[in-house]
Amino acid sequence: MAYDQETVRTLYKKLLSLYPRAFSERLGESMEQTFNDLCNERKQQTERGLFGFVLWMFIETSAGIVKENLTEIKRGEIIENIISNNKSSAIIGFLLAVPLTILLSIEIFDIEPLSGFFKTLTTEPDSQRLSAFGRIITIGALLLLPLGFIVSLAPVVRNVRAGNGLTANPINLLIAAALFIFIATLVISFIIDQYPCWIGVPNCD
Amino acid sequence: MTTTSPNPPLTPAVFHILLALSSGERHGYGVMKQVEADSQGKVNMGAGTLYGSLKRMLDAGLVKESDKRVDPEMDDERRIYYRITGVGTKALAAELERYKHLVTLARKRKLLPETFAYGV
Repeated sequence: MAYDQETVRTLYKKLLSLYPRAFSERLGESMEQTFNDLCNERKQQTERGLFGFVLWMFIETSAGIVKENLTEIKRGEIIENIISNNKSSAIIGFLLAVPLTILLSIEIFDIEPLSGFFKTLTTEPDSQRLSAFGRIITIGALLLLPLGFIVSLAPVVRNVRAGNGLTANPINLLIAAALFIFIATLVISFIIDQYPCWIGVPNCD
Repeated sequence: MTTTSPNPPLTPAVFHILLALSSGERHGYGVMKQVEADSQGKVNMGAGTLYGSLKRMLDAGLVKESDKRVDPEMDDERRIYYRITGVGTKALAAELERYKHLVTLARKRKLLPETFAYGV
């Protein structure tokens, strides 16, 4: 039984870590103490198990976690924190480029069975044209790329403005440069591919 | 053009917490117990509601954190106590004034049980 209570307390502590960092640093310890006090009180009051009470506390606290995180998102603090933190912005910038990189790698290197699977999923039956789902996937992956570029470049711009120089965040600069080259290559490839159609060459697609 | 009242209406949770702290400093568990006692067991505040409200109240300057100390009636763990500030006392007084006005209005309209019992 003592083991069960210890497990419940550990789980509650883990749950509290889902609060926004500032909230959890300021009030997390007090919340944990209050939870322990309430558990002790219930244990003294009733011979029955604490399941119902613990369940209510977990649900009530989870609702609080959702509310506090939504409040933080509304204030823009999460996005602000990501952009202001060099490491997280570099990681997120990199991750945003991953979907398109995977899609292009599958397409260019014709990696089977993934290539066949994606073609079935994203093209119209009996045709090479993109289906509605395929268009959403492609446009979504394309839009993530400039977003990744902006996120990874933001700390570099901030540092330059603060007079710290362009190379103060070398990793961010490297990822931003790689993403810029990636975007430029895609744009140039698109122009080369579509140029004949723009100048009126017949039967181009 | 809209103007912001210096003491806007309080949420029920904030009102109960301020009321609980009006009689002295309390830690989180102490606030919960006082709210339960003040409301004759009708308000059972969970930790999520209590600390979410306390965070907003701390930000708004309605309450302040005191130094950590041991509660002699409980275990030997050191706890953060909360106390009402001058701003909090004013906000509570303004809310009680609003309630008083509403009760007066309800009496006039004979909406309260004692009004029915004693008649005009």
